[in-house]
Amino acid sequence: MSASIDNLINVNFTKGRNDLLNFGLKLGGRGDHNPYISPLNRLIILLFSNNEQGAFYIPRPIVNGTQALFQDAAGTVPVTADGDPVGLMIDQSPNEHTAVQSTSAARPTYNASPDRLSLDKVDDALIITVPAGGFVGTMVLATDEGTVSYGVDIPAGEYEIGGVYFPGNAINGVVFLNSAMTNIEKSNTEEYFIENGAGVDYSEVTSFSDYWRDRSEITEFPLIDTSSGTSFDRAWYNCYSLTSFPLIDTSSGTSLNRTWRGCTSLTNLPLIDVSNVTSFAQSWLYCSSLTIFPLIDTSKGENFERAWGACSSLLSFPALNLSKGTRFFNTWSSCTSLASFPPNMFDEVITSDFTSAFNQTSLNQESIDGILVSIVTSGIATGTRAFDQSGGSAPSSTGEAAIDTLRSRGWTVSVTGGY
Amino acid sequence: MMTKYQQRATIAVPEPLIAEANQLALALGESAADDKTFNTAAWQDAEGNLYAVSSTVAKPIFAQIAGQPLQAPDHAPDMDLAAATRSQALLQINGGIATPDVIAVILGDRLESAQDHIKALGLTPIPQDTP
Repeated sequence: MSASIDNLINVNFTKGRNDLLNFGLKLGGRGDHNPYISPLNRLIILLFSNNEQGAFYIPRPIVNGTQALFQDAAGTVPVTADGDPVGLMIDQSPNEHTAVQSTSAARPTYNASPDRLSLDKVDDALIITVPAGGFVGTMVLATDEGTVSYGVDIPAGEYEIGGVYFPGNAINGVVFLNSAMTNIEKSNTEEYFIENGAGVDYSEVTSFSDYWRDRSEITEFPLIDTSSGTSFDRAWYNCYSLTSFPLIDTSSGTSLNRTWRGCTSLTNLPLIDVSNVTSFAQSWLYCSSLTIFPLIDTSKGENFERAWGACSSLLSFPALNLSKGTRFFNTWSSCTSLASFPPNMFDEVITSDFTSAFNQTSLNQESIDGILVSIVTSGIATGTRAFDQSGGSAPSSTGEAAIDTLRSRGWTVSVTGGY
Repeated sequence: MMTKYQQRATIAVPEPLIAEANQLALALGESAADDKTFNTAAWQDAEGNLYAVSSTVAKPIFAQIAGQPLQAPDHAPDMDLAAATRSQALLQINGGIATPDVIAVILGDRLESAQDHIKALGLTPIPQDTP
């Protein structure tokens, strides 16, 4: 939608809430005329006509006939050309939460066709001051690669739009609402941005590395199209407010390094398709609220270093296919509640490193026996050949016999009870 | 209308020089907040030396101004001009990879990528996730 259409009715909503309410009343209370209302203004009325707290940003030099982007944080030099830096972006909601960047080198760059703020992903960002009470509700974030509505809990204070980790390379629009948007409000907002050139659904992205990293404000993550994604490294790293996760398409993924590391509130994970993933290093490290883990297809997995480390609420573990595993360094270390572990898990492993793999666990005797017997069955006689267990039960005579065999093959074995 | 910002400058400051380089940023920049241009040393070279990096669009006169005697700008009249001048003497524009004894700058067309500049500087992000 072009700026000229938005300008057919030139109402400056940024002056204050009364302007918006009066405008809305006029529209609803008079039947003798039918003025054109731009899609943008319809959307603003839809979202903010009941005094809702929030903000609405459109990275376009002129919105509703008023300058909306400025090169400096003081708002004195207007953005007029493709390539100008942006130090101030006007809030199009009645709440007047102007987004600014005081540091010259950290200002995003305005680009036209479509209107957007390009980020260098080094230091570019705009800062908004979230009012007391925060924004607890919905954020619609439109980027050049996708437009998505998130559940958010953003505390009062400074909040950065942009930064080193960002799900895209440009900001095509952002809306914050201090209440949960209805599905209609979400779809209308997303459609507005998409019609104005924002990416649709992330379906063409192959690397999601660091996309939502450190986004602790996200409480609800939507089902997006990740079907082209091959790398999900650190994609949701430290998203520690997420309690659940949708069944996203990871079937093309080959690398899940640190993907959900630090998602400490995540209580469960859906049965995602990881059948092509070879590296799970630290994938769920510190997911301390996971109580169960799904029977995912890990048959191509080679690197499981610290994959489930410090998943301290896991009580048991599914019979995953770990046959291609070559690295189990610290894999279940500090899973302090882990008591039950399936037998025969390592029967087909060819070479490996189990250093600290089961340190600080609560394995019962049957489980530690089964693990040791399975490693004997694997016949591993080369490589690092180290195995550690601490916490939980000491092995029985069955496990001790397995330890004897392993040591005869050159293994260094350390287990609870000191055998 | 064409933007005046036709170039992109990406600057790598060795960690010990961050404070003084921020005074240079004040002198060359447009805001009193430009003393916060270089923050955490989040990048490293092949030898493990640490750097703070900033990237920005710049006007074509950037290289010329960067080579002239500095003056305290109106937005920072009390800045440390001596520190800025010491940093200025260390500027190395388009001279190759970053090293601990210079402030390396890649200056190119505005459409060039900051990430490509950082690669040209020979820098990679420091892993942030230990332990």
